[in-house]
Amino acid sequence: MNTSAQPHNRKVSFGAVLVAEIAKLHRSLVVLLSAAVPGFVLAVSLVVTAKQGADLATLGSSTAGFWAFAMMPLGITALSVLLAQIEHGSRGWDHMLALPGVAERIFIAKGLIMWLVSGVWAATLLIGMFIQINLTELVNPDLFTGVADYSLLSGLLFKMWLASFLLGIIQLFVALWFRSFVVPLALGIGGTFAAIATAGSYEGMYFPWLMPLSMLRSDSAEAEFSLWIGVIGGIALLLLMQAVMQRKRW
Amino acid sequence: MHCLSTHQLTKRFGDHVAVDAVTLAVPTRAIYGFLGANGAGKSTTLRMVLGLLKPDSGTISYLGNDLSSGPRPLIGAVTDSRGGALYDHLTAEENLRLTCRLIGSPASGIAKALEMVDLSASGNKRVGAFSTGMRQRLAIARALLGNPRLIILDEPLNGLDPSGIRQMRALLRMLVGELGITLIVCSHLLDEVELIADHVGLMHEGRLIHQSSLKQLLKDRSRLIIQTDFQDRKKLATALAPLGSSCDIGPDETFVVNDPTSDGAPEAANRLTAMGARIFRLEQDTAKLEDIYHEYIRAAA
Repeated sequence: MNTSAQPHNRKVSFGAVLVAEIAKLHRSLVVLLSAAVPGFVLAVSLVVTAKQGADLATLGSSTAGFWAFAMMPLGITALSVLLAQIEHGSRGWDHMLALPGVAERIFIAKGLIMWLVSGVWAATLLIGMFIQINLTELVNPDLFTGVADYSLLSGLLFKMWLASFLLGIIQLFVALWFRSFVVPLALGIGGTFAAIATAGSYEGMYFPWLMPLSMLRSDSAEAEFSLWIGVIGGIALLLLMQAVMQRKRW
Repeated sequence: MHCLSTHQLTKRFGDHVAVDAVTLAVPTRAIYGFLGANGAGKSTTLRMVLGLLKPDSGTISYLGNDLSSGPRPLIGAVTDSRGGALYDHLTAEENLRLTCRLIGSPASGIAKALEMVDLSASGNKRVGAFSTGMRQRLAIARALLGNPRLIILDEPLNGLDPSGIRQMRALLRMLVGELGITLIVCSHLLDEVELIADHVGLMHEGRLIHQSSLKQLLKDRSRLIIQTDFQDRKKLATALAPLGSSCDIGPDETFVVNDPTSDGAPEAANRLTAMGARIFRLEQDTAKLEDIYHEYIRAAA
């Protein structure tokens, strides 16, 4: 150990904070959640198609719809709670924020982790569907009709992921602000149920919990509007969250 | 040079003055016991030192550098007395590696830090399975990363069993003695602070009501209590006054020598015997930090 009297003045990089945030997920419940969320969608899709078969052209959009409507918002709710509780549960905020340069970066890093993990879910779902459809066709070639358009499905899942940014940051902001997991959980479940009630409405494209589902709107202008609101709103809220949270007294 | 000093440091929350013009002087390579009741302002003061709160006024100087300007230096902190603010799902090494990444310190220091706190054998174990003592020691190992010259410890002895307390005491002394680190220790366990601290600062209702060397503080409050059949009090005072800073008549006709010299008791016995006095009682009354603490708090209140 160095015993010099010089104070430590190394600057922490954003990359280092991001890598540290990823390292915190190791062996955490986020790993289990990441298997469970896309896994549940795939399981539901398998159960439905195994009994009655499906047209592969519509299977993609119906699976993506279920993903965007229910499992993605609920998964993001659970993810936000887990990401926040890693810090709340360990009472680690003081230690973390006292490290030079960390307070100015950590909340943006957490927001990006949130988004990246939900992106991994979307990718897992796409790969899982590819494997599931091909394996099912091997076992029962007559089960499916039509041709699966993976290019269309991947584009749809990608847009849904982008549009979910605002929803994800809202959930994370609330989960970080409140030490209790009850508030973000109630918000996420409430938001998802409110999305069910407003799903068919024009105003739904303004509702963060419906923005991923809006990618399935027949009016492409409305879908695009939702996408941009989701992305730009998410970035703006992420920056606001960083500014507000680094001043919060824990 | 002081390792840490504050000048007129003040923090208000609305109308409440949490820290009122506190001027701390923490000497280098020493253990500074920072004492006070809950809500006295200790945590708020230290949170300002750690950069977690912004002072309303006053300055903080660390190793001669003003903390209000320039990049913040690394100050080690063990902030949570209950669990050390560690990630239970990670191993001890993984917890330390996280901090290494965040402070840009090489991971090669992890093994040394674990060795110092006697946790080398537990580096690969998950922290969730650690005892309170192990967690506290791991939190100290983490605070050592990056070689900070100052570590702030909040209640490091809380929840430890007697052997854990002993181990922690030795560890803290080692950090100061061998590594030359300065420690600020917040604790309510005054007996323990008395055993480890070199200096103490007493906070009460946001104000620093006393700070000094602990040795000097205890010496100033120690007394020789003498009971004798010698009736001439004036002659007695003349003979015994040089053995301390002052003399008083205590209760039950006892004669009291305040702040006696190190050989005050045997010397008093010699002088009394030479004067032909019979000694009924000769007692060295060593002051306790706990009594002094309460005395100061009463006076401040």
